[in-house]
Amino acid sequence: MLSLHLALVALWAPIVARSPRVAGRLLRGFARAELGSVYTLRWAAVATPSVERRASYLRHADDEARHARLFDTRAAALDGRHEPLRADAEDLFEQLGEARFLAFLERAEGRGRREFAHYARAFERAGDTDTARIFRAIMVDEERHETYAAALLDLTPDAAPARRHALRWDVWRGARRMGTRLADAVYALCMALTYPLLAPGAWWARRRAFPPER
Amino acid sequence: MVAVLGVSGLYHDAAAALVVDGRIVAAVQEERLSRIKHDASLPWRAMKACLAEGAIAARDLDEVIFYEQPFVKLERILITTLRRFPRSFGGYLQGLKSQLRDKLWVLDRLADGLEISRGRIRSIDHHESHAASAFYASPFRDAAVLTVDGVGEWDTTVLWRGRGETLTRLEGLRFPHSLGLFYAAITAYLGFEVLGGEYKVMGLAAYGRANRVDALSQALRLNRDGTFELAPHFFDASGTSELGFTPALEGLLGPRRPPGRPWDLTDETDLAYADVAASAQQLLEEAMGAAARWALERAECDHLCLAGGVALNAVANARIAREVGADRVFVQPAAGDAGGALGAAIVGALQRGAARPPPMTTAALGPHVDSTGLAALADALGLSVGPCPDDATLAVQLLEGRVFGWMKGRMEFGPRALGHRSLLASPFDRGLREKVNRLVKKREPFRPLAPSVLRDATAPWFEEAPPFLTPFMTTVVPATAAARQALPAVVHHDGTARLQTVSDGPFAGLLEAVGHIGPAPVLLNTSLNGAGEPIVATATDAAAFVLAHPVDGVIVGDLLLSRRRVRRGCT
Repeated sequence: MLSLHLALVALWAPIVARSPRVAGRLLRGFARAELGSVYTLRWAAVATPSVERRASYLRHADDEARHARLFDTRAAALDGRHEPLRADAEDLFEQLGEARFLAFLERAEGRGRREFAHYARAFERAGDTDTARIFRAIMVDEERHETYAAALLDLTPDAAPARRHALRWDVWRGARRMGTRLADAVYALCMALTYPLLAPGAWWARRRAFPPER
Repeated sequence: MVAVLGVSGLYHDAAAALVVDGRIVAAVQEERLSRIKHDASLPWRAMKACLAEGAIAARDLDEVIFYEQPFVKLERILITTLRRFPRSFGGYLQGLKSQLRDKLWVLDRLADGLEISRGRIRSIDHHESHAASAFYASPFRDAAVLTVDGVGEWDTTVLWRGRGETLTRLEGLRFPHSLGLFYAAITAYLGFEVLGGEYKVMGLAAYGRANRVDALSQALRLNRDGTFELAPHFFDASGTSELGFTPALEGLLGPRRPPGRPWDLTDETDLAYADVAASAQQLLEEAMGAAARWALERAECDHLCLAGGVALNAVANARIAREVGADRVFVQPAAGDAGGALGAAIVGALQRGAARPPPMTTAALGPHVDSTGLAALADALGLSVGPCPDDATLAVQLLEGRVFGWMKGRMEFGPRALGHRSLLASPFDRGLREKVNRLVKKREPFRPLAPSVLRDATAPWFEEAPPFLTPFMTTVVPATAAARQALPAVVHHDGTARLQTVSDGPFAGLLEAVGHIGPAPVLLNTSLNGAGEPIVATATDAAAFVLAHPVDGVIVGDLLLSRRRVRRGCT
């Protein structure tokens, strides 16, 4: 699954790197993902019983916030759009428990690092060294995050089952996300088909006045 | 015992408030705990924090009241979609999606999440929540109440009469005629983010000339009777657009300012945008003033309470306090949607026979600061923790130009830091305003910073201090010539300041110490947060703040948290 994802990234990255507009959208998506991670990590920092792990999560969140700013600033420089940076977040710590959360962190950071390596190479080849440099700088942090998450996980008795669970959960999460996108598309289609049926209601609503109430 | 939990959320600035036996026990905004600025989600963390402050379990609540009516709001969305047909597909698609996904089922979700019976959960009108949050928290037994915001269910502006334990709705204006939507559209036109950037428009207005009022009057028409109307073709109130305005507004005012471009107020182009801000602000003040007069006349009262998001416009509040002829004006510190949770809780409590709460004298209604474990966390983060210096020592350091965070006691409710979760600096050095704005807050250089002053020491520095507004920083006051000279970091470009008067507590002690060694018991006080972040709530947040921002330290209860000094030059 992971290698399929990376293969798709390898195919997609050179296309992205050639278009500032598409690259801007991609980087803004990464900025949102990094900001979402900030929230997830801050919640984990509050929830963990260990001071050392709390410190690690806070440092990690600080890095992710910096990454979000880097991606967002670069996205604006590439496509000239300035959009409010907002993100959704999942309380993965609460959903997974700490060992599985660490296993997921290790996995997600590793995947991010490998994915960013493809993009860094693609942007270098396309001559956009500024964007490539951002990916390379963030990759260093991602490797450090992967390493600390793995080290903290290995200190727990459940490291191996947690890693297996993280793999299964990650696949399930990807499938769920695709399902959500599909559901969104079906919803949009249904709404588009039913929209013309509003015409009689529109006639009625226009006949009714809604003046300022006095 | 009568215990009622009020809840606001699912639009912006979600919050919870707990009223027990007629006492406001706690009120907390979700964003402070979730760390998501303007967090709109159902405020589970805030509800939990309120219940913890009240030491009661959810099952002990008599009632939970949501601050608006979900199905009436759906009606407005459907009717608006129909009336705009066939140009309303975006609203039909997005508006209905968010309604169907979570908003319509909010009462059931609350019942499930709190594990209490659905019968104990109900909702009241959005503007009733606002009105209750202002009137019942005010010191008045008899007052006119004016609620003004973007839009609730249908209402955008409502006049009320408050008498003792009752609020009577008198008149109202309905969607789309909304001062909140007008100001939001101007906020977007100027390139700021709606629901957060409105303060920037207010600050920017001081740099401009109100020379576009005539043009803007085509978009917002003020009537002689105190009402107003938005010309609909200038505004996109479908809720699906980030902008909230149509190309017609650009036709009227010129092209919108591109978001994200750095401001340069020596540049003619940016000054022209400042003129638009000044004109919009003036028009808003005139509309608010007229509505306030209308409210006072209809209610036949001398006192006035304001609530709703537009009542967070401190400059407009100042003009109302000065010009409309009310004896006294009160603006509840969380006047926006967060305050709706408080109003909902009070309405529920009164309806169950509880006494009306005593007048609100403090906004410190959130969780207490808890520094347990901070030393160990700081150690793990490579930060330093020591005892907090005494007030005199801290005052000296502040006046030397250092910048400190200050977390004492309970967290504030509402958007203002009022000496419980504040960032403090000397008001006597203009350079510190630049430092705080650029390095710590990373925001536009024109954003004003506020002064906090001992209540009994305002006279030489500020021309007035309305007693029900300045404790909560909900107005601006003219600075004296002496203050313009001596307090350059906290007097705005137009010679006003968003003053906070402080009468007691640890913050008053610090101000007193500043007064002993400096020219005045005044400090620069801004919210303790970085760019795009909510105000710091907990000791853990303080540690994260110190890690990420160049401040000299944060006082967390009785401890001082700071970065470790690096020794240089030794091998």
